[in-house]
Amino acid sequence: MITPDDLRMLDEWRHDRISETDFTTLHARLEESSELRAELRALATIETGLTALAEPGFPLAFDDSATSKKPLREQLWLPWTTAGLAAALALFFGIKLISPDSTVTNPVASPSYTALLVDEAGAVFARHRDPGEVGFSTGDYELKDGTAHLRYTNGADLVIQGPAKFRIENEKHTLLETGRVRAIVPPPARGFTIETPQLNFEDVGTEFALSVDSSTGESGMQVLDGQVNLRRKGDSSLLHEVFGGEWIRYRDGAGMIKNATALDLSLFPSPGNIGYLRWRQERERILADPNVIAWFPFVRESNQSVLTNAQRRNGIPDGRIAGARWVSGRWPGKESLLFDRETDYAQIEIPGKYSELTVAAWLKVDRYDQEMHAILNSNGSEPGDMHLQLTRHGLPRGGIIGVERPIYEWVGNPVPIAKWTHLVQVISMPERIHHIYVNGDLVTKTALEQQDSVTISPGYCRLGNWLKSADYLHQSNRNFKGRIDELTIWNRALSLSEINDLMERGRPSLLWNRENPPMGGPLPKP
Amino acid sequence: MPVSDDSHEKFIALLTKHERVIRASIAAVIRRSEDVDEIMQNVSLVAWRKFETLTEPEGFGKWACVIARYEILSFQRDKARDRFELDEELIDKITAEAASEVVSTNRRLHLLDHCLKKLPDERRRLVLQAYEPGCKTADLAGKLGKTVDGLYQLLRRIRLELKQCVDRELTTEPREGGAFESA
Repeated sequence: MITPDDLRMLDEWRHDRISETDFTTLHARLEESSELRAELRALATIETGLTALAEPGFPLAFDDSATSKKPLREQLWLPWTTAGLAAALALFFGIKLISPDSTVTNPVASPSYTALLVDEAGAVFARHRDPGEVGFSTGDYELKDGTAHLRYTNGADLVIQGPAKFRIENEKHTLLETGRVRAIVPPPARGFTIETPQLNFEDVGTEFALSVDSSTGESGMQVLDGQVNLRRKGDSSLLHEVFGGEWIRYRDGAGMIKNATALDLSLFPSPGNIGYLRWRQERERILADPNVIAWFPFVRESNQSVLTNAQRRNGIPDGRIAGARWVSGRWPGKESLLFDRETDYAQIEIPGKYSELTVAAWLKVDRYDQEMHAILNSNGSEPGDMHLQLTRHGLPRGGIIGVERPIYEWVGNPVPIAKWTHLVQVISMPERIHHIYVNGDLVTKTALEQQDSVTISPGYCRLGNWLKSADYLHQSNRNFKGRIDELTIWNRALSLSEINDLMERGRPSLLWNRENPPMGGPLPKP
Repeated sequence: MPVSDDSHEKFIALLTKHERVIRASIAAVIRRSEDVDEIMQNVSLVAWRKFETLTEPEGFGKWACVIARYEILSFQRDKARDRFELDEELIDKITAEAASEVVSTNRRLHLLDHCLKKLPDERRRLVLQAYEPGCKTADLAGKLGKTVDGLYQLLRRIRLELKQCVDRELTTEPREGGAFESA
């Protein structure tokens, strides 16, 4: 019998998204199940057919002029091809200016969004929304769970906490049937109104929290900054003006409730809170991964010199912070370590010997002002010791002491300054590779020579610095200048799709662009 | 079968008729489209060289799928292994089974047109766009205002819908007399 998990793994394998564990399971299932093998062939047949049908000029078997392919392609999308949500947003705010033909009516191609999802944490919408869909047209929506941050075309931000039901009427008017929202309204969106079953809440700048209780129907609103006008539904007459720091509660029949309590603002996340919420939800998943041997989430403990390893089962101890200071990380509430002085570092220990290892870090570079900047370097220079560092150009370098590199080249863009960046080093001795990825793109490509006598054994390492052994005392310092706010280590080589998945899950916001600028000149040789 | 202008034409006609079926049997075990293209090219060359040994043109599909089976194994041996590759034994099993179901694969390909037509316009356009040559998921996701993961999930659902539709049609359509799996 074929299970939904079988189907998922089958499709993920075909599209290079499968994890190593799942692949092993799938392989065993395919060996034992002729039904699953038939399913695989059927799926391959569908995709072969789709590839043929999508070939330019391939005549579709059905004669339907309304859906014939040439006109379709000509109709599809405006000429904006930049990947990522940042591009979608650019289009979103610029579409009215650049749309060449307002008569194009393709439901896929010409979105008339009123709002876009710019971030979310565990957001689950009711039917009619596909996973990952970010555009919101006018209409009814239900956020069943999680938090969603919408940005309207006029710039107003609405952070909605599920469960909530709402209807987007237009860019200035949204109906909140039930749920909790926080609205941040910039000057161009002045007049942005949220309608509840009883009242209209009209923002005249700049931030307020609003809730509608699903059982009692009671509305509660608190102005965080600026002013909100309460207007009666129907004739829009002004009922009340509420100013920063004030709140009201209103119930049908009872009207404005006297001596009402303030809203619990911790239940109304701000836009900056969402990424942090999303990241915190990842905790269980990371800790459940049997191949994660260490996860340093960079949480400040009461003893501020401890860098906690949250993955306790592998005997990798907590790190010890020397000099580096606790500062803010990717999101408000998230902490990071700032490395700046020559003496700043955090000492960690990765005991054991490994044939494969992956090291992933989120970091933000402040400056490059020396030949090399160590991210995670083993102390000393014994065979098997590991280095991960950035050059003065921001290009990643890494190596295992005692292993030659017949191929060693840079093939991508450097780590930029002042941008949160995902850096991943993947080493596999059996496959003889040592690659470094920046925001999911291969930047440092290395082939290792066959070397059976050396295994990866990082041992004692410095994060953000390098403790030189006697042989290297003549070399200059390699202290890193910037912030690091997460470090994860696996005892296997992650695949590219896993690296991309990891990056997506930890991205600073949906507006964050993974693309990095190229170097000003040709790429140097390592 | 003698190699002549006439046989050349016959070969081209048979190869054209069965190309998608052969490709489907390769694609069941080879994931990269470039690799499928390369193996398909090898299959065409070997099939042409051996064409004179084929006695029954009706059996061209199965015959070519058997050639594909050996070409896949040979290709895999020459190529550096990637960690998510099926092992030889499993490839052999899957491709042997594929060679014995050429007729139903052909039916599936034919029914796909029909099932594609039944999809809502928006989904049909999307899936065709996604399978256009050179289409990159990240670019398409950006164009559609979706995340890469979101687009992948959506396409997966569409593939599943199409596959289920084809399965349904296969069980309900009248069987043609004389159809046999060795065609």
